[in-house]
Amino acid sequence: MTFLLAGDFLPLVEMYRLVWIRGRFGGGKTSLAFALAEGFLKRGYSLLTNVRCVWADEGDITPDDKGRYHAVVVFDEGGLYLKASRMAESMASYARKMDVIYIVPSFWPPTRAMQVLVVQPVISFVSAGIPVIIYKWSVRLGDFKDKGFFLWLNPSDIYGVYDTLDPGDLSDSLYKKLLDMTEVYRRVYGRDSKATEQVESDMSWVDEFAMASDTLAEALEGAGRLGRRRR
Amino acid sequence: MTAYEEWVKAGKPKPYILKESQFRLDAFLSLVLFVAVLGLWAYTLVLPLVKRSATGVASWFYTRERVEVRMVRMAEFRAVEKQLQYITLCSDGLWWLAYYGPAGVEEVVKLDEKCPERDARIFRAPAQKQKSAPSQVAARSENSVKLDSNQVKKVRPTAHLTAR
Repeated sequence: MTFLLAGDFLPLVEMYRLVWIRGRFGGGKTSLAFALAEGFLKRGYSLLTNVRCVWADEGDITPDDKGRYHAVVVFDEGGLYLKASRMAESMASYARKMDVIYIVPSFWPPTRAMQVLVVQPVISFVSAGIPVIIYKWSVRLGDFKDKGFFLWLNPSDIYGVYDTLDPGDLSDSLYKKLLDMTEVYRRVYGRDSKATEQVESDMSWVDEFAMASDTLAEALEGAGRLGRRRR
Repeated sequence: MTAYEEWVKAGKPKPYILKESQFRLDAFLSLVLFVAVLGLWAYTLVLPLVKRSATGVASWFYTRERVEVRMVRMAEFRAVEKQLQYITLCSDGLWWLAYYGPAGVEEVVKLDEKCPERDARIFRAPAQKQKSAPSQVAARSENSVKLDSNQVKKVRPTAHLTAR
């Protein structure tokens, strides 16, 4: 896959490991997720996903001798499922230690805990006959903020690798697999696995409050930007 | 071996339905129109500005502007030293400096810098002082050129001389 001006962005995927790709339906979210995943697959990573994909490793993947999985997880439309922050925390708590990258292409926002590195297609020239899509990215982690953009050339290279019509498996299977992986990892280091047992998949009032405050913060930020422009 | 490695080994097959073509003629025409308008705008407005500023920057280092600035500095220094006013003249393809006081032109100095024949200018010469035209010239330095009143007339700017 060919990315331009992505020198800042691509290392961030590996650094932050929690990527939410948002945007309109059919705007190139899932395509980008698999394109990003390919960079890791070339390095020997496994792919776990809830959509049909020729790159997907079916069944259980085995960790290396240190308990690390070296895997990329593409959770298509994961925003429909990953609503509770506890789910994200239990699933992705050892993202770096287990060497797992989580990419969630989803129109619906997942829990705030998954919105660390956010990517969004901004302009697509594909419909005008030019195979270029411009994406913007941002990192928001507490007070720290960073943002930028990059270009993806020839996005059609990815077509046919995954099933675009597959709505994706929204059952617990992928999530439970990830929890199992976390438990196995903890056991490798002699830790109990109870931490992941009692995870509520429903949104708690804390999640709802967090989402509401996020929405309010975004609205205020937008209003502030508008005010600055008028001046 | 991962599924990806097997896929590469199998010759990178793409078994799933390809995305339908997203090309739209209206989007293409919109883009063409946008690029045309942008290009026209750039050609008519931006390019001249860029050219002018680029020429200005380049000329500061490489062309006549720099020579002129150097001349002005030198002329100012000498004028202060001599308690005289000065004008710069372009004549016979070279720059000249004419220092003058209340009594008229005191000294005319030929510079080694070339100038365009028709591009005579006055630097920092007050308008009222220009009226006190020089009548005679006295050479006082090595660079000076002794000129009689006829020669001064040749050097003097007349109708084509423009004040800055």
